[in-house]
Amino acid sequence: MLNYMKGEFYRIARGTEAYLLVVALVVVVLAANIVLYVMTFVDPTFPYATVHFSLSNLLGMFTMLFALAGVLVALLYADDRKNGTCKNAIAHGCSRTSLFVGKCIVSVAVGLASMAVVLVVYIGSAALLLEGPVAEPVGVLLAAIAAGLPSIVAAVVLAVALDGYFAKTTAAIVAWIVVVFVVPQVLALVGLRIDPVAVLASWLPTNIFGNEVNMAFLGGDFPWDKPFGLARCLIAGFSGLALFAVAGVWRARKVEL
Amino acid sequence: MDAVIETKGLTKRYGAFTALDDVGVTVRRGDVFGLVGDNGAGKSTLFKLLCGLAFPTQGELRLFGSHAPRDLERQRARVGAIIEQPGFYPALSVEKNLECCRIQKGVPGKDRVARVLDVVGLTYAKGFRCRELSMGMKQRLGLAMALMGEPEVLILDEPTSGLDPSGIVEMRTFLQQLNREKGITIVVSSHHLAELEQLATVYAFLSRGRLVEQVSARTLQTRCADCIDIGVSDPARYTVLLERELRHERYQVLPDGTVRIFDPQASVETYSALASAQGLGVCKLERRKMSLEQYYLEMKEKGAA
Repeated sequence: MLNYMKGEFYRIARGTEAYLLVVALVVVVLAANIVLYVMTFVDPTFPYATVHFSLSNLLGMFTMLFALAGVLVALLYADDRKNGTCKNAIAHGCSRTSLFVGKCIVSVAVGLASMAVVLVVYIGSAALLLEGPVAEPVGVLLAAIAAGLPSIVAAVVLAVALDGYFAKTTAAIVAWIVVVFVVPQVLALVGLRIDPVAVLASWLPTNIFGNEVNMAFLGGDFPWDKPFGLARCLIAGFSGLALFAVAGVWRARKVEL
Repeated sequence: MDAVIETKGLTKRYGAFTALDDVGVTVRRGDVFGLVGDNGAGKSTLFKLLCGLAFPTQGELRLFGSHAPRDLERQRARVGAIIEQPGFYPALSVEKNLECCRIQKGVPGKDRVARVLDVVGLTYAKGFRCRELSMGMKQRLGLAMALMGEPEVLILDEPTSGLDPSGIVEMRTFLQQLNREKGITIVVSSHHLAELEQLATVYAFLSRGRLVEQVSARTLQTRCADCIDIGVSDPARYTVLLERELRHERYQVLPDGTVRIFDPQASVETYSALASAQGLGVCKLERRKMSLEQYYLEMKEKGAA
C-alpha cells in the first residue's frame, strides 16, 4: 500500500489536477478579498471590508468544503477505471483494500495540503487588505474547520467508495450529491413534521454545518461552541467516516474490473 | 519444469452467461503459452482471473503453487500483464508513467526506467505525453510497464492488436528474446494465428468458454505435418507394401482404416499406383497440410460439438 501511495503522490505532484484546483480556489479567495478592499475606495463608508466579514463568508458556505472534497476526488480518480490504471495496480499485486485505503489517504493528504495553502492565502490576504481584528475571526474559522474536518474526510472517503462502486463517474457524482446533500435536506424537511426524523437529521453533517451555522448567523452560537455541539460535530463526522470506510472496503473487495 | 500457472475446473459466470466453463490449464516455467479462441471464447476472462481483476465462480487457480487469495496477491507481483488495453495516465509523459509504475511496484533504482525504455525501444519518445502516442507505442509502453518489476511471467492479451506488420514482427522477436534470454514465461493470446504459430511452445484452444485442448507445439507440428490420407481395401497389406516398396515407415493407420502417410517422399499418384498395382481398391486419396488456422477451425468444430 505504501508503494501505491508513493506512486500516487508522484503522479499527482507531476500532474496538473491538484494545482488547478488550488490555483482556482486561491484566485477565488483573493478576488473576494480584493473586491472588499476595492469597495472601500468606491464607498468610504462601506462596512464589510473587515477580516471578520471576509472569513464569515466561508463559515456561511461551510458545506462547500464537502463539495470541494468530492471535486478533489473526482479530479484525482475519475478516470482511473477508464485509463486502466486501477487494473494495472491490481494486476501488479496491490490488494483491493490497499487500493481503496491508499486512495482515501492520498486524497485526504492532498486535500489537507490544498486547504492549508488556500487558507493561508485567504487569511493572509484578508489580514493584509482588510480592517478589523484578525485573531478572533481566524480562531472561529479554525474551530469550525476542526469541528468539520472528520465530516470533510468522510465526504472524501464516500467519494472514493462511490467512484469504485460505479463504473461511470457521472453516476458516482450523482450518488455522492444525493448522499451528502439531498438526503440530509430531505430528512430536515420531513423532520419539520416528524420529530424522530428531525433528531436523525440534526446528526447529519450537511445540516449541522449548513442549516445550523446559518441560523447561528441570525443570532446564537455555532454548533461547535458548546461541548455537546462539538461532540455532535465530531461524532457525526467520525460515524460517517467509519460507515463509508467499511462500506467502501466491503465493496472494493467485490468489484470486478 | 514446474508449473507457474495452474487452473482446475475454473469457471466464471456473469449472471446466466458462462464466460469460462471448467477450464484446466497448466503453464510451465519457460513456456510460451498461446491462448487461441474467437471473440467471446473466454480468453480475456481467463486473463482477468489470472490477474485478479475478476473472481472465479468455481474452481482453483494457482500461481507459483499458491492458491490462497492473499498469497495470490503476493505472487502477482511476480507477474507482468497487459489485459485488453495497456493502462496509463494520458496527461503524463512516457517516462513519468514508467516512473510512477516503478514506484508503485516498489522496484529499486531510478535507472530501471531508462533500461526498460531502452529494451522496448521507446527512449526517443520518453518525453511524449501518453495521449499523443500511436497504438504501437502504447503497446510498447504497456509492455515496458509489464516488464518493470522483472517479472517471471508475462500475461499479454493480444499484444499485437493495432500494430502494423513491422510492429508485429518486432513484438514477436522481442517476446522471443525475452523468453529465450531471460527465461520469462509468456502467456499470450492473439488473433494472428500465423504470428502465434511462430511464437508459442504450447497452445490452449478455447471455444465458448470451454477448453477444447491444450497441446504442445511439437505435438501440433506432428498433427499438422504434411501427410497423405489414403483409404484402401486392405490397410494392413498396404502398409507392408509401403515399407517394402517405398521404404516409408512414417505412417499411421487411423481408426477408420485410413492410412496416414507422414512426410511423403513421392507424389500422391505414386502412393495410389502402389495400391492399384497390387490390386487394392483405393476409396480415398487426400493430401493434407494443416496450418494452425485450419487446426484451430477443426478444434472449434470439435468444441462446438
